[in-house]
Parts: sequence; C-alpha cells; structure tokens
Amino acid sequence: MALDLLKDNGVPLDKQRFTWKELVQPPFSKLDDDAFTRVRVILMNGLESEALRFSHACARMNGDLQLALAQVRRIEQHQHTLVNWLNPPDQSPLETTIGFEQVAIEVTASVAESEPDPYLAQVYRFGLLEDFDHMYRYAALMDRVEGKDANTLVQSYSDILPGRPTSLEHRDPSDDLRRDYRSHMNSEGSPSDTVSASYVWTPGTEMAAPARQSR
Amino acid sequence: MNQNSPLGTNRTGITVAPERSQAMLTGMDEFPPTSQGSAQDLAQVRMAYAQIAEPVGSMPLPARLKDQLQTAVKAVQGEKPMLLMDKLGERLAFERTGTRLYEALVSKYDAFGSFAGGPSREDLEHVLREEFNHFMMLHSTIEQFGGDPTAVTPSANLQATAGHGIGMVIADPRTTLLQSLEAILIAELADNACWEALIELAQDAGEDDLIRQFERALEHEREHLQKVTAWVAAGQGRTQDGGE
Repeated sequence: MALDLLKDNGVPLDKQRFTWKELVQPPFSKLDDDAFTRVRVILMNGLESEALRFSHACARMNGDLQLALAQVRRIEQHQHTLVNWLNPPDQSPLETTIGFEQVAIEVTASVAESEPDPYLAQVYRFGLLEDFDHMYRYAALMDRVEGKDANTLVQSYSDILPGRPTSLEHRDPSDDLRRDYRSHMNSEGSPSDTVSASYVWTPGTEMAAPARQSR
Repeated sequence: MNQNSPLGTNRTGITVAPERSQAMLTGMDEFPPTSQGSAQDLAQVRMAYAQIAEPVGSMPLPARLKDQLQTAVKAVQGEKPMLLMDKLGERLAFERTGTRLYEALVSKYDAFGSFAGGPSREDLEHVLREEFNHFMMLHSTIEQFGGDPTAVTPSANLQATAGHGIGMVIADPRTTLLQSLEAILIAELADNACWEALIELAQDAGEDDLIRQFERALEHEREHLQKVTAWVAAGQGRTQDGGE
C-alpha cells in the first residue's frame, strides 16, 4: 500500500525503534542491481543528512525546541545509518561519487521538467548542465586513474558528456544567486512566518528558562 | 632524488611520548573494559552475517546468445564455462587498470627520474604497451565467445577491490618511483598467478589458439615481474637476483 502523508497517522516517536539487525540490511549489488537503486539510496541518504543538518542548526537557534529536536534526531540518525549502509562495501569513494552525480542529473532533470515557472526551469537546466559536466569529469578521472568505466555504474541511463569549457565553470559567487526566487516562493507569507507570528525575541531567550523547564 | 624514506619526525610509535604512554597504560588499569568478550564475539557476528549474505554479483548473460548458440563455441561448452568467462573478464579489467598504473609510473619517472639499476622511460612504456595489448586481446576473446567485454564480472570486481590500494599508492604525488614500483610489484605477482590459472582454464576448454595467445601474454608478464623485482632490488641497494 502506498504511503499517503495526508491520511497516515504515523508512528509515535517513542515507538520508533530500530534493532541492530534492522539497521544493518543487506547492501545492494554494484553488479546486479539497477543503477536507480543506487540513485534512490544516495537520494534518501541526502534527505536524511539534510534533516540532521537542519535539526542541529535549528536547535542552536531555538532553545525551547532542543529536547524535542534531539529526540527526533535520534531516530533520524538511525534512518540515516540504515540508508547509507545499503551502499555496498565494494563501492569505492569515486564510484559513490559517480552515483552522486547521477542523482544530481536525474533529480534535477525531473525537477526541471515539472517546474512551471520558466525562469526557475531555466535555473534547473543550468544546474543540470553543470551536473553533466561533473559526471564527465569524474568519469574521466575514474578512467585515467583507476582504469574503470563509469558506465558500468550509470548503466547508460544518464549521458556522460562534457559540459561547458572549464573557464566558464568558474563564476563569481554573486552569480550563484538566483533573482526573484523570493517573489515566487512564499510571496504571500511563509509557513515559518505564520508559526512564529506571536514570537517576540529578546536577547538570551534561546538558551534560557524554557529549555531548562522542559527537562 | 632519494627514492627511500628520509629520517624525520615520525610520531606514531609509543616511545615518542613515554610519559603520555605511561599515563595511558595507568588509565587502562584504572578503567578496565565494562563488558566481557573477545575476538570470538566478532567472529560470531561475521558468521551470522555471512550466512544470510547474498552474492557480490553474478555473471552477465551472453551478449549474443543467439550467435553463441549457432557457433557453439567450445569454451562455453567446457566443464567450467562460466568460470572461464569470469576470469577472462577479471584479466581484462586488470590489464586495463594496469595500463593506467604504468601511465602513472611514467609520470613518476618524469617527476623524479630513475635511479641506478632502475627503469628507463622506454622500459616503463614498453610494459605499458604490453598491458594495453593484453587488454585488447582479451577484449576480442570475450567478444569472440559471445560475451560483453564492457561488463564487470564478479572476479573483475573482487580483484579491483583487492587492488584498490595499489592505485592509491601510485596516484599519491608524495610517493617516489621506487615506492610506486613496490606497489606495482604486488600487481605483477597477482597478474602472473592469474595468467597461469587462465591458461589452465583454456586448456580445460580445449581452446588451442587461446592457449598460445595466453602463453605469450604470460611470457610478457613473467618478464614484467622479473624486471620490476630487479628494479626494486636495485633501488633498495640489494643484490639483484633474476634481473636482466
């Protein structure tokens, strides 16, 4: 049965537990499994990494939430470990990197295709060009240094093509920013603004009384 | 350039910091392990996982199954057809990687120069060309048997994983030509043993043409091993046995 986030009640946090056996699942096979299995593992690993990174930063800025975030993080750290350990032990760092570039290409291409805003769609296509270029360079590195063919990993799903000349790859940091992103995203107020509408900040409140009380 | 490691400030040994080491040993007496156990516990876990593990990978299906059935190649009808194809794939991957490793060795030569009794640039290029020719010969052989030379066979994957460190040593800009030759010596030893095994498998399959080609390749590989062994011995100032 497919997961429906709007209907599923979820599992209470204190009932979310992993045994060691559940955490350490058989890895996928580098030789036998579809390239998109690696793509999915790397993508989900990225989501779990970002969840943990966000949670740590959020906790630093919100004393009241520290305990709740720590409790969620414990479970998410287990999910992160479970997913990351699906990568097989015979997959070298360079091979994993080729997998990362395939994720970048396939996910960005998919997002670009479904993005209705022409400017943002263009932004994704520009990013895609760079992802192709990274794939090409890592594939060349794998061939020249290790004498291996990156297509054994990519399995002809994603093209291994040169992107733009190296000189054009170097941009000023200001060129990494995209214009009018804000005018599209949350232009009528963000969910964060709504949630924090009644919050009044005074210096020192992050690490003060509320957090201590909650313990 | 000195090809061997210089005397320096290596900090890895316990005698570098006798007082800190003694404090650590005292700490071990004060805080013993909090649980029982031995290396046998790890062995139990290893065995439990090994018993439920799936294979690393499988052999690919023949690329041209129809053609293969029509031509009825003897090798794939032999006693150990899959093993022969697996090992052909293994040698192909090894020779391809070997070609790149010798390219990196040529760069070491260009960066550091050689040493008394060491290889010339031409010596390294000669081995490089032979590794490449072996790769091309194996490519044709696998195609001839209806296989896909671009596929990574299970044995090719295992040897690449086992040999990963050799490339890391040679690609490291800090290692000298001599240190890199010591790493390639491991590859040449494995290569010799594996060509011998491949010839036996070709003999089992009754592939006379193949045996002749593989024996020529083994002759080259024996020469590579002899040369590398002699270069390393010369670089370390040892008496050369089996050199040119």
